[in-house]
Amino acid sequence: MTPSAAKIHAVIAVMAASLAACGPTKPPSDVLGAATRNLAAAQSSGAATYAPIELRSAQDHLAKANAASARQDYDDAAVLASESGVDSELAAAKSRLGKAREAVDALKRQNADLERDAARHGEGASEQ
Amino acid sequence: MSARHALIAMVLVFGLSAFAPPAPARDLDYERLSESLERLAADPKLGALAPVQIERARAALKALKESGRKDHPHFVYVVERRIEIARVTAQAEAAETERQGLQRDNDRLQLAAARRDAEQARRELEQQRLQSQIRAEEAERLAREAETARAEGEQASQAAEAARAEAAQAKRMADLQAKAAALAKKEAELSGASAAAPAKAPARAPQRMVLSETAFVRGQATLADAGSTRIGAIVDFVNAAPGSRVRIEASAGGDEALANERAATVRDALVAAGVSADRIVSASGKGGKSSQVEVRLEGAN
Repeated sequence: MTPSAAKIHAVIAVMAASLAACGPTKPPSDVLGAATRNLAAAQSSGAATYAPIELRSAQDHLAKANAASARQDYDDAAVLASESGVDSELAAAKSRLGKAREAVDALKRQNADLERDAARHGEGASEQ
Repeated sequence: MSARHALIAMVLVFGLSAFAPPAPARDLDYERLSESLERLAADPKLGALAPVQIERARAALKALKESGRKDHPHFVYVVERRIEIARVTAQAEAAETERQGLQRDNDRLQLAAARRDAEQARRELEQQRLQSQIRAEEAERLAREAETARAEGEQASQAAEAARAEAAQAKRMADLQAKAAALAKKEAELSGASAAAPAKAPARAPQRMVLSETAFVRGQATLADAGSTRIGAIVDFVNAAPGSRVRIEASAGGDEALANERAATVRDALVAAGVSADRIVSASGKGGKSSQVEVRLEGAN
């Protein structure tokens, strides 16, 4: 990279910054990164099964955030990314709740069966 | 003109309000969300279960309060989500706690079931043990019975052997009698041929029948079943020669007293069967190794 090219790039950067003077001056890469990680965590927690609506919302918001970032609309990108982030957090929480409730239901059924067996066995034993 | 002034005034008002700090007017969204969050925090069941998420919702609510008009909908969205996250997290915590309790119940029930199964297996084993013991005792009993039956069978076959021997002797005697009769007939024919007189008597030889040891109960003078039957044959034999004298001679392996008693038994049996007591000239026992009662006919007419 020649010094002249570096100068040109610096000028472009300054111009871009001055053009976006009314918004944030740097891309919200940390916010986008956090939203992306949150989405991945929600997906791996089983949100597609337990919280499909929230998961879709998180995906939509993240896609829009990335699009906004691509057109250097960093304000919108940050807002949309943080909305995607809370969508993903809610999706993950709902997945956890759904799994816990499934486990509770399964255990209730199993325990009821076991208690029925125990009662039947008790009757059987007393008949003997 | 007045309309134009009004328009300018409106533009000014809107323009100023855009740069003004948040309106001190009531924020209905904020009030609604604040109330919702405090209700969750005060919930006796869920309030204490997600303290971190409730704090984050409070922080978001504070940010909403301080937000500008432009960002207001975004902050409302975030606060709504944060309150929902706190509620769902608290519900998940409650479900987790319930799951743990149920898991403990489940462990307890599984353990009880396992104990029950073990107990049942133990009972079944005990039952099988008892049954096999009963079977073993039954087999032993059957073996004893078989042993007894085998011994009885041996006795029976001994008795049968004795009866067979007696029958053979009787046959031999019958053969001898037939031979004697044939000889007598021949003699009569010869004498008839010489004297032309009919034979006075077919035979002079003393005729005899024998009651063997098996006719009596062992060691006694009482007649056994076989003996009673045999007495019938002897009665027929005696009655076949009405004029003859009857001599009864018994021996009992050296036991003379028993021999005497057996001779008397036979005499009494013959008398009881209709043989005249006068015809019985003697009924006595003797020593000697043999064990039998001999009934002899003498002087038959």
